Amino acid sequence: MSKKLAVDDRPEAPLFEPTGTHVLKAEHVTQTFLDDSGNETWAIDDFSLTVSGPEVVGIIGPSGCGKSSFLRLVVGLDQPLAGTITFDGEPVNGPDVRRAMVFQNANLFEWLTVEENIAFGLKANHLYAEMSYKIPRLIKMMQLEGFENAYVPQISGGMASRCALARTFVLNPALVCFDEPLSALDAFTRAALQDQILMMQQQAHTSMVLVTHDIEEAVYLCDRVVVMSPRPGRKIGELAIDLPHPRDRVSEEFVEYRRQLLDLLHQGGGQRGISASRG
Amino acid sequence: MADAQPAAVQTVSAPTRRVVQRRLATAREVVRMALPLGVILVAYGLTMGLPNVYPAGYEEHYYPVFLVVSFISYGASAVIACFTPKLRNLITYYSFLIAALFGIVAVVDLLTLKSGVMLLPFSPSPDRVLQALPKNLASYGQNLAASMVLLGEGVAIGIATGFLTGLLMGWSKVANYWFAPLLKFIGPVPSAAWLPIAVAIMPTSRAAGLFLIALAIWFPLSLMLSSSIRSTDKRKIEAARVMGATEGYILFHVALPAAVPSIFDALFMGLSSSFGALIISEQLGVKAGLGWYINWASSWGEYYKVFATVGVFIIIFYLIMTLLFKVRDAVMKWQQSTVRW
Repeated sequence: MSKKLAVDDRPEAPLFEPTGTHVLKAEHVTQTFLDDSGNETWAIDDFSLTVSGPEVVGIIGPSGCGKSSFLRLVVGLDQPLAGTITFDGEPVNGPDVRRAMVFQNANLFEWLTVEENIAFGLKANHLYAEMSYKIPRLIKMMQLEGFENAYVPQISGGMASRCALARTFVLNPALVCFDEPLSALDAFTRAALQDQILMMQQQAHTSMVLVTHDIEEAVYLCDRVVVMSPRPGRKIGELAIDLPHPRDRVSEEFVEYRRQLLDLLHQGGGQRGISASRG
Repeated sequence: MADAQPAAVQTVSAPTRRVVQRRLATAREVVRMALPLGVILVAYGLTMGLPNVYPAGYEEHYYPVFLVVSFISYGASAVIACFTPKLRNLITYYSFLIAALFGIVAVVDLLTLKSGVMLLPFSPSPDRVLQALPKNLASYGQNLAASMVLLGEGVAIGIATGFLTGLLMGWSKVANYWFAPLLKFIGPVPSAAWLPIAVAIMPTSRAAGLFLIALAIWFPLSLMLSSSIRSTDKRKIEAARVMGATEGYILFHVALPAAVPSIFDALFMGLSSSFGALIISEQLGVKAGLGWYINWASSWGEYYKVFATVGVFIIIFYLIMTLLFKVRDAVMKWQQSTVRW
């Protein structure tokens, strides 16, 4: 794709089509995984979660509490050992474009340019007609102009993360899972990316399940935060964050929510690996 | 670019460590570039001044002309290089090597034609080697064409079959089960060992040659391609699956592009051994081509033709490898390979 795509501003071609109401329901999910030495490890134990409508749910917990394993079940990369996961009433049997995932460290295809990475999902689903009006707009929204034809090794970590956001949202998903998407970025870039994630969520009205190590990130982005125990991961608490956006990271309420989450984690004995005072 | 900077900026800025390329050559660079010219002059003086004693009465034509042409073309490049920094870097870098090359040729001239220390027919003088090509232009042309056609067909077959088995083995466990033993046992056996069997089994000696050349490419290509596809980063495959890509789409749009560096590494290895397979099959089966010609010339004791043919090989194989690296650089804009040329 060497030629530059023209921006198509037809009003009948919205960037995000309404995805309707949708409910993700995970009930009594139990999952094991094989660790590096081939031993079967108990990752998640009897975990239930319901995400309905455009809602941002955070999952925090210590390292190895099965947060990432849960996301893999939600997008259909793995099947649970026990329990059920349904999306809009249908059991999750495999990947589907309505359930998207933003991976750790962007995970872009380095043999493709920024533009080609964003186009990947559309091409894979033969949605060629959508390329001309979606890609230039997303490139603009994600501030990647001028880097359309840059290869992944040539762009910064923050740009790679923005490109990963664009390639996820280009498919108009109803639910986006984030697997510690910003953990490798510096504090400044991370804060900017958090605002961009919120902006995308508000424009596309998607639901989000955000797995993070970072309590501040959870309080900043989420409507509701679920706290998990150390392995095997169980739900040990839940906290609704009732703050209007944009949220002030140093306001009293914000700090109070952080403190409550930290307390929940301590009750579960999961203070290891948690960066409570980041930012 | 550097001298276009305004002077004011230079006076206020701190001393920089950036190397500024001078427009004109320094005296040191001129001396270094002139070194090969001196060596060529000495070589010319020796070959024109000393009598031809082995064989006595031999008349030189090509070597003096070669030296004069070299002197003029190199000298002209060096003069241009005095004013063009890029060419100057190139010539000053290689000047010692070029001087050494002409020095060695001059020493060979002294040891053969001028003294007879090195004996005929095995050690021809530079003049004899240089005359082989222009005096036998037609046969060199025909044999080179025959070699290139054979190599081209064999390499094409090898690449096609290598891609096929490599992709199959990389993606399908069943294909891997059946092809892996073939690859592991047949692949490492050198072409020379296969030759008698290939000649016996194949309908023509040319088909046997094609088989050996294709085998030389097929082995590294299927090995590297299949192992590269099997070791494709799982996270990349999962990212594609989440975006709704089918297995086939992932194979051709994720696994295969990710394997491109390995494919080129395999082609470099495979091409080198296919050159060997070409020469071996031409020497023992096929009755045409430079491999056959080199054998034929040596059996007639015409070693100057043998040396000239080796010279042709050097140039042709160098050009093919350079072409492959150019193709790689064009295809792999996104990554620098570990293999350098």
